[in-house]
Amino acid sequence: MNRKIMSLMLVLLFGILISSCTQQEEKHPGSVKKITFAVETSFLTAPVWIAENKGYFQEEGLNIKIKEFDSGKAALAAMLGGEDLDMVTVAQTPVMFNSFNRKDYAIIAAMVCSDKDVKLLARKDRGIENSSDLRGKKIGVTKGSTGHFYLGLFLTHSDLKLSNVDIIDIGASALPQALRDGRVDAICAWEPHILNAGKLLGENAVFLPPKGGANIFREDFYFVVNKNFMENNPEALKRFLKAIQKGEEFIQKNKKKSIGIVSRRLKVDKELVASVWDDFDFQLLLDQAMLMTLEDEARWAIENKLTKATEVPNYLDYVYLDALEDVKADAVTIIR
Amino acid sequence: MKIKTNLILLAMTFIILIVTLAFIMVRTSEYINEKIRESNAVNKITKDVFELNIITYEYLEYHGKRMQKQWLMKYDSLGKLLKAIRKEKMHPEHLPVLESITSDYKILGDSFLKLQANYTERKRLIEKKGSQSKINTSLALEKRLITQSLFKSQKMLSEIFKLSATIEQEISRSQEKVNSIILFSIIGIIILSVCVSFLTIKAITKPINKLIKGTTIIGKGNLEHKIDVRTKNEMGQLADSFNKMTKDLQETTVSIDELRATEQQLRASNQQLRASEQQLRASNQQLRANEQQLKATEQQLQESEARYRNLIEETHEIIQSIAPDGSFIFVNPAWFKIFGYTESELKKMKVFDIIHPDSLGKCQELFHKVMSGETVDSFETTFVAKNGKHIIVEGTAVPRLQVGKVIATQGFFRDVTERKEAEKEKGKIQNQLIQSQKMEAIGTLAAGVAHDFNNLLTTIQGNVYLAMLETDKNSTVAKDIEEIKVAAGRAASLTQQLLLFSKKQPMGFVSLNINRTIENLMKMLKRLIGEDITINTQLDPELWIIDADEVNIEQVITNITVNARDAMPKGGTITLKTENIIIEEKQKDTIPNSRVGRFVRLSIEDTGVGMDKDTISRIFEPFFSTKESGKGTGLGMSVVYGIVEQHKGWINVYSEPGQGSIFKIYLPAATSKKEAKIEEKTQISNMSGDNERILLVEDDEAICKFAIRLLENNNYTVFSAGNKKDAMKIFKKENGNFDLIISDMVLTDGTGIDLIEKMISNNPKLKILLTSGYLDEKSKWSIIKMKGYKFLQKPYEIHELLETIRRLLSESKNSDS
Repeated sequence: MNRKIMSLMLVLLFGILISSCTQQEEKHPGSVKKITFAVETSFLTAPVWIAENKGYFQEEGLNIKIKEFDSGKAALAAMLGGEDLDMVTVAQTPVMFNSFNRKDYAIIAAMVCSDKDVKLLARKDRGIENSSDLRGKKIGVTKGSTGHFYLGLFLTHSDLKLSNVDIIDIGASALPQALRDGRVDAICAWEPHILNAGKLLGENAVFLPPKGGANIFREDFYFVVNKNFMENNPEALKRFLKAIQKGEEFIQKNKKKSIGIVSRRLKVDKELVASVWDDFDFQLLLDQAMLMTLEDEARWAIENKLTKATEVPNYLDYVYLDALEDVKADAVTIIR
Repeated sequence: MKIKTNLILLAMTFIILIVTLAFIMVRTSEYINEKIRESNAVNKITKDVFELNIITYEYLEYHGKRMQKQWLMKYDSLGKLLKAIRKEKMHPEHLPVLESITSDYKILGDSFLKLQANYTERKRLIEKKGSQSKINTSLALEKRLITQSLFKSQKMLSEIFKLSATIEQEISRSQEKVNSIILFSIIGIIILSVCVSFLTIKAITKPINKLIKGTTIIGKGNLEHKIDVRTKNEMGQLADSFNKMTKDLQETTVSIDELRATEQQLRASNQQLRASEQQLRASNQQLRANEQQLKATEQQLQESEARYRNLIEETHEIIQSIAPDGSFIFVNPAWFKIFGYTESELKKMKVFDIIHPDSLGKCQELFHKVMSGETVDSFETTFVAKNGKHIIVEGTAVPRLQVGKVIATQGFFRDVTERKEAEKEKGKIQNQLIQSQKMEAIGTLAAGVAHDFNNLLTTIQGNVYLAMLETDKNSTVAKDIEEIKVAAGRAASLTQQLLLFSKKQPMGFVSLNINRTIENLMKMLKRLIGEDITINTQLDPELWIIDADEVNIEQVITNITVNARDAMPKGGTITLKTENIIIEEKQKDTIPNSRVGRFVRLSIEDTGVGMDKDTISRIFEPFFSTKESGKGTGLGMSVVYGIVEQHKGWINVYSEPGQGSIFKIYLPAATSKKEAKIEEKTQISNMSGDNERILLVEDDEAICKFAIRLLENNNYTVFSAGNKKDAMKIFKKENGNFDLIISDMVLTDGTGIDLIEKMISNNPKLKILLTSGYLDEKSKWSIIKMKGYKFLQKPYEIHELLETIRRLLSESKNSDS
């Protein structure tokens, strides 16, 4: 009797071992995949910093080599410019601008949405108290970035046009200094640059909300991949999104810890990060609104002659659904 | 029908009811699921139509390629869905609605395609600046088509909503139906269960009640009663059996009177039995009392036996019982412990096997004596233990009798081995004590005679000297005087040796390097040992310094070397070796007589005849000599022993006959690292004085006379006194004007030291020379050493006295100048 039980237990144990080995193989088929990844150093990319800190990329069998960039625009430009990059983090505006000329990249998911990230900050001593005071003023923006588009929207809602202001093209991280030095009267940018600029100006800073106080712009922050890489590494992309998904789950469950990790990673004061943390909705998605936003921006660019193109591109060609559908099917709501 | 069958049927009924209920529930559940699937499909259609609407609106606004593509994708997806739903088992009632939706779907597709074509055409006309009327027509057509599309999609939606609502209602109805079925089924099952249970219980309990009632009546004596149970089950059978039993009882029952008579008889018999029982009980009590008494006796016996057993087992005495053939019958644990044999070994042994061969004869004789019935008291014998150890015992042997016949001997012995050994050891120590006392006596004797003896010898030697001065050296008288001189010298040497070995001679310890002593002594030793013997030295150049009396150390080396010489009549080699030795705790046991510390070892080895053990054991005894009579005093090695001991060292001898001898002397190393400065003596050519004034204090008249004569002959002015008092008188009279005081240490009215101390207090520059035949107090010697007084041991040589005086006076002159 005992022998029978022993034999049965051995068979069960063997079975469990075989099954666990098989599961392991299924988890990470093939060797460790290396991805060269350009990341904007901002709060928006928090899921990436969390996944990096918690080792989720390694868990998914990925060797992620991160290259830090000042802005998503610069990161995308570098990838499209032939730099050895497989993937970038970037907001919709640079994606839109590049879509008029290039078709060799695709969005695999948006990692965060925010309607409060991009803001307009001005100097009080330049006589700016509300949006109408912007007429004729020097406004610093990173051309071709979401800041640029937001300024356009902001002015439209304030019955002004882009041509009514003097736009000065400045790199994102240099904007706070430019505002402090008085080279510009106001800046339009995203965090942490607005917070940094506020600190530099102190009481001389004035934050200008959009007219009526409405949230006029939803900023989406995407993972954009090189199409060549995408076609050759569909499995790696799934694993990548799984790691990001884990990062986002961690953020939902551990707000304080997440703020700590991001502040240390970006070398920004923890309190500062905490003050804007709730402005971001961290969740992977590919929704219909994303397409509409891209098209809306494209139409804006055409209307304002920021591009030579006259036709809005078909953004379905710039979206890769399979990876996210595999990782988080209910997050894909693009009509199809 | 049997009760068991009844119960089985009841259980089966319940099972069938429950299965039926479960079946109904499963079927209903399947039906509801089907409806839910239908509902889901309808919802999906709703979602798709909504999404188509959104895209349509977007397209109408922007006419983008993306909208076109998405619209077509969605349209295609909706078509597939409709097809799939129709294929599934849709309720026939819903099919017409589905048909209508499908028809609208097609019209919607046509409208969108037309819209697209119309827009493309209009765009082309605008780009090519075509006719405005055509453009307007196109715009009008677009409006119609939009209306048619919106109408159709609206119609589709309303139909789908209607269908959805119908399905929802069906689901709701089905659920209500299921609930009712379940409720009624449960109620039915409960009612049925109650009825069937009631009937079954009644079928069982009714006959039981009849049986109870019947048995009660029969129990009261009515054997005529019949139990009326007509069922054919187990109860019926039981009732039949009961009735049969009642009938049998009726037949076998006797009358009550007969029973009463029998009862009385039984009571009488019973009383008789009780009387007998009481008698039995009394006897039984007696038996128990006897039994208790027996038990008490037995317990006393056991206790007594245990006491004796314990006594024999715990005692340290040897107890043994021996059979007539000598084999062991019994031995106690002490026996095993002392002799070390095991029980199995004992069985194979005879008592004579453990008796020492020397005691065997006597023991056999005693054994036979005991076997003949005698008791042997207090005899001593020696046994041999298993490990070979000799066990000396004292004891008694008694015969063991049985019916007047000796059947064994019983021996009771005490192990006295340790006591005997202690007695032996005690004897040895006593011998040593006697030896020590003997030495002490000799020492005391030597010390006693030394003073007078040395005084006499001083006189003899002095007068011999003076006589020789006045005698022709070639005359017979001169030769006779020479003989007297030699004899006096030997007598002086003998006295010296006696004082040395008895340790009465004061020592002049200085820091000394023995290597230098040996080197200085070599010339004299070579002369002593003669030409046939070679003398070698192996001296450690790093040898430690010792605190020693150099003269005595020379004496030691000389005595052993002379002994070695005498042991090598045919020549040989003597080796003198010095080395440093550190003795640690672990080495202590390997070197006899040793102790822990730093030592200088002086070894003197010869290749002579060697010594046997007996000689070695007696070699340091005074007057023990292996030499022919007259050739040795027998004090040489005793002196060596005495000197070494006074130096707090020890000496070990290693020798075997024919193998030569080694004497190893261990002397403690000094803390000082440097040897004391040796006074270099300058040769004095002229021993005569220069009329220096000398006060001679000597209680021995003969010495005094000889000394005065000697000194005056050598040109000194001599004043003499026989005691302290006279000496002080002369000293005061002459105002202390003396160059030298020569005083004996032992005066009749005090000591020489006391005297000279007084004189020095008056004249600190006074030179002192003390003499004595024997210093009985070591402290006096310490004072002499401390104060640095010159001292001459009697009997002194004449030239030694003159030389000493000369040196002292020369020192005085040198210091004055």
